[in-house]
Amino acid sequence: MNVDAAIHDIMNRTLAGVSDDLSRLICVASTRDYNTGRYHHEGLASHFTEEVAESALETCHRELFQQLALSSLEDLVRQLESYISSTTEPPVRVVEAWEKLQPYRVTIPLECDSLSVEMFFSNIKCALAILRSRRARNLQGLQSA
Amino acid sequence: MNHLLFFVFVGLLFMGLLLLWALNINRTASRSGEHGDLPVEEFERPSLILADRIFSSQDWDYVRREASYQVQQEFQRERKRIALLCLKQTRRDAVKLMKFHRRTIRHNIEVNPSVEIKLAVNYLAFLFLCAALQVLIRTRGPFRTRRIMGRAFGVANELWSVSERLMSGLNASGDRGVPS
Repeated sequence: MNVDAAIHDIMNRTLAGVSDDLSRLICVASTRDYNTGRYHHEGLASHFTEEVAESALETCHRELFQQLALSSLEDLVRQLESYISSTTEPPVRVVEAWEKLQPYRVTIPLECDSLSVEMFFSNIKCALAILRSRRARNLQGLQSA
Repeated sequence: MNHLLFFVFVGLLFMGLLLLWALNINRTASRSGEHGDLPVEEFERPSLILADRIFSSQDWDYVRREASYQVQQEFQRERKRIALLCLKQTRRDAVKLMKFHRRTIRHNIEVNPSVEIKLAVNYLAFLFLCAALQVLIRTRGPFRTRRIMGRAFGVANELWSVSERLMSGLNASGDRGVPS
């Protein structure tokens, strides 16, 4: 049982039902303890060991983040839209909360370069602004119709 | 005649810069600084993939198509900030690399002057491109400076490669000359 097998398990079983990288990133980041920065997943730890599970989650987190930091803004907007619709909350409320509370800040891995982090934050901010602007345009269209 | 004077001037300027650089080695030699005990591999190479993403106009084309004027302005501001940050970090890393390099070779008598000159030329070219890029990003935005960025990062990579080759040569000869 090694870390590679655990990574394979995470990507093909744990995250199999999660549609895109942004949702996967949020999912993996949620397995991390905010106070210690350590990852924990009950099922994975019982199948492998606590250390292997932690190491695999950390690797997956880093790789998912790197992919997202390098993805195009168009792709990020699409993923963000998909994630917001999966929350079943009114999209306008989610966008507003994300803009004010910036919960995406807790999704970054502990070990990553600061420029990638800045790029990711900046792209998320722009993606949110685009979604807000798109919604305002749609509302205007509806009112004028 | 004017051309000749110009080339003489550029030559003298270049020699002056090299002299300043050489004098600076002696000044820094007496100081113990950060990263003095790190091998050159520890200095991360600038990521061309990320820089290419930052300076790419693909996102800008999308924003122009999809977003309001206000969002476009916001995006331009953000991307300019990130581009300048990228440049600043790469420049800072290159300066650190050169400081480390100078400290490492200062007691080594087997230094190859031609390689050292190549390194110095690369470093000066990189600093010049950085300064030019900084002005261009501020005045024209990051998307119109992608080619110069590519060149600056090309020179930076060359800087890292020459430095790595030099250090591995020093390591192989058994005399790293790492400052205490």
